[in-house]
Amino acid sequence: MHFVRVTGQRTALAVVALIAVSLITFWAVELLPGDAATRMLGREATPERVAHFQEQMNLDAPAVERYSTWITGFVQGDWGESLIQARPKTEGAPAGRINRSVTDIIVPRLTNTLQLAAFALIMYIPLSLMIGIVTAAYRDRAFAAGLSTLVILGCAVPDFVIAIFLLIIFAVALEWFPALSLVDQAETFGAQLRMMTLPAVTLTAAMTGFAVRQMQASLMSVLNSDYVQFATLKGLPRRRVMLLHALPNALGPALRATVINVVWLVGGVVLVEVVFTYPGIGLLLLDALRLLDTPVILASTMILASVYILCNLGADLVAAALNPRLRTG
Amino acid sequence: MSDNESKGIVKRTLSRRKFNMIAGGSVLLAACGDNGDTAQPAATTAAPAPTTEAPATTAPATTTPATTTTIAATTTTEAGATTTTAAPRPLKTLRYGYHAATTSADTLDPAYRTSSTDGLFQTLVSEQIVRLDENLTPTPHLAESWEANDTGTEWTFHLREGITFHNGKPFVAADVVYTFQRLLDPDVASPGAGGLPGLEPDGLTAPDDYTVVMRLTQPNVDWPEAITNSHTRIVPEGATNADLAAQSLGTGAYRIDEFIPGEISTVFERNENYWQPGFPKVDFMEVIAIGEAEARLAAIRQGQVDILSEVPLASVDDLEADPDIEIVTNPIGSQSVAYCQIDVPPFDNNDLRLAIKYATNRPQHSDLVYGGRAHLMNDIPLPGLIRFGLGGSREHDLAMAREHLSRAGYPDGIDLTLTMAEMQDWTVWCPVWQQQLAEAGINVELNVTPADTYWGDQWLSAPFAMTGWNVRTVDHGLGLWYHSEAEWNETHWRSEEFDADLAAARSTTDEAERTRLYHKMQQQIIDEGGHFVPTMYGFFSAVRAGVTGWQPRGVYYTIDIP
Repeated sequence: MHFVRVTGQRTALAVVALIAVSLITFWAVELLPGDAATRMLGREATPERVAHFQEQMNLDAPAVERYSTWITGFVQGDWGESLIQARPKTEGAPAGRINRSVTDIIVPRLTNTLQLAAFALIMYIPLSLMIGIVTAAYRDRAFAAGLSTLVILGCAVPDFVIAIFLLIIFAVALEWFPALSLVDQAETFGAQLRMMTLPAVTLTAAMTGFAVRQMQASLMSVLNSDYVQFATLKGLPRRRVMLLHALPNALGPALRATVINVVWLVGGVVLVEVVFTYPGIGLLLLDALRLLDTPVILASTMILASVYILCNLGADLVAAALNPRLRTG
Repeated sequence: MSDNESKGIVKRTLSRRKFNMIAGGSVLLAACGDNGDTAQPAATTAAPAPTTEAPATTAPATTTPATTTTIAATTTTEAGATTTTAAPRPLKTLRYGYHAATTSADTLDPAYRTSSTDGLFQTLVSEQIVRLDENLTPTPHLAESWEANDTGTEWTFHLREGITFHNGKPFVAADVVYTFQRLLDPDVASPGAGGLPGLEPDGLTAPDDYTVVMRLTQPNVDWPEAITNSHTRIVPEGATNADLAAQSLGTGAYRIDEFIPGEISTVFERNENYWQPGFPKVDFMEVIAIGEAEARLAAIRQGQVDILSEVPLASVDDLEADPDIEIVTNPIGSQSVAYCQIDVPPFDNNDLRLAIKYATNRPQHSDLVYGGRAHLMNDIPLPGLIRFGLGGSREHDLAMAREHLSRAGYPDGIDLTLTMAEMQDWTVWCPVWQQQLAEAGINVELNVTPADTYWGDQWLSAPFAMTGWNVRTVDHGLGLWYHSEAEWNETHWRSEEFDADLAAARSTTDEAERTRLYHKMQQQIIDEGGHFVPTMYGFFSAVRAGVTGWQPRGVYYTIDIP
């Protein structure tokens, strides 16, 4: 029953964290200079025009009122309307621009991002396991040293450099992959995969580097441990020792690294989407931030924060289930 | 299957996804609507568009017979018809790589145009009664002709007949009246209202369906030029904000049934009822907005776009070396400009302003910032290339610069702070200029402020700061930047004589006298104004081999707000 209580506590904490995220995001946007009206008008922002659009966007209402309206809707599943793309009709004012709810705007972009993240994870898991095992098992060989160097490079080189590097080599020079990832236009699944390859490889490279580094360390220590030495001395085949005796004990750190990687993905996609012109939630968030479109910013942030919090919650619960010492938490 | 049937299918089923299925990439040719009659004639592809035919997978799976549409791809070969029906005309798509990211604030409504992206979209779907040609001279468009009374206070425009809007409504005088009255309506709050000095809502009348009369409260002999401002594209009578935002509602060469702002790719289809014969030249015009510079260059090199609207000047040489790409230039472009407020010390001293002007090395500035491709300017954002333009450029003269600096009371040099942001080409422009001024003892510190809020927080309030202007007509520019009451008078130039000269130039029909007055005003600004304009860069566009008949037209950039 102890475990149930821990689960309940952690879940409650996650909800509190999400509410905190929404509060911080909302007031951070409030603190930024300007608002959606001035950002939209840009150079055309005369005081009268700004006042006119602030009224249409309901920005003249007090911040507390706007936040409580938003959070009340949000918990009921109504994510509101974009300030920029829908101007609520006020008495006597002309009707709004184009009626698109935040859900309409976010769902297609989120789908694209999830596909990209899934593709990157599918490549990442077997790749990092393989490289981890090979570099640990053959650590005395030249090719393993080469692989390790590559892994360190993957960790050390910033992901936008990797992205531009891949773009120049594989899109411009070799023309194997398209430069623009216009996945909404892909005619076939194959075409879509091709468009997703370069951005996904960029993400995979950074994640693999990190996971392999984590795994190498634990695999090395496991390989040097007495029970593995004993298994080897007993005459068991090297492959068997590796896969059945050493690997399971090294998987813990790899799993933790994966959780950290998924969390990292949340931020990583934003950058990769910009470089590859990938129509995902990262580009959307960037656009919304430039225009201070609060409802879109809030909804996107809540989604990204949920991924973050859920991953950590999952990791905590799994750890609690596995490790009796943590259950009392 | 006939052409018409295949078009019918396109029309009936076209949606974003479906467009994607039937019209992938293709080799193309085009000239887009407004550009139409000034584009080079005879737009042809070097080779027939290579296409393959395939059954449309998007046709409704019910009773519709097997239909044939064209899937075009740059790498496929002519495969001929594979179905039992006759081959339709191959559909042509022009993929236009645009040099900035789209945003969710983009709109098709001319009244709310705020960016050059809006300007591009609106140029495709809607038109003005008068528009500017390459030299920024007004030419007839939806109006065939016009005349004024002797004093320039009453203008009569004769409209073309037989034009229809995208929704099928015929284009008549009431639409013109509605469009302008809507711009002036305070409830609409259009930024375009300020561009129509002297026009009141009740000054607009329509004596018959094809005549519009505009009565002005003050004379303006160049009124047709004034109404080419970027907000005056004609919309049908009664169209609401919501109508105009969601779809195209103009007379333009292209149409779009569902406009979603902020998409990376936006597809416009041809307006089958377009009035100019021979246009549009393609079936689909796909605008692909590419915010990232590397991706943009990669896309044109790789052929993922057929045209790249604006090539960064640093990459022009590289692209020119590519045999598959041609660079086309529009000499009239845009300019980064520094301004100072001439009523704020120390800038209230004209000797200091002259010292800065003499210390500016224009040829070197062009070399270092624009690879030697820029046009040399003379401290006013109006080049000599346009009607009434003055031209020339001040010689670099360090001795004169130092002398003026001494006369201003700073024999040992002066420290100034230039406010800027990391946007446009300022990150190169400013340091180069900073170095040049330093040689004359003018030490400029760069105050880098956030780009997102630059226009709202710094511009117009910082006394010495960066700004940027597309080229406008001389009259429009002088009124916009130097009239005492102009909203955008960033240099605080206030002169009754200047205002009177501007009014006089607007009310005389004597071309020689107008030229004299416009030149006099420009010379005053050059000698005493608070603008520092070393260079103007033209627009360089990249075009893939096989696309012909397309010319970049500066006009919707040049008259429009950046």
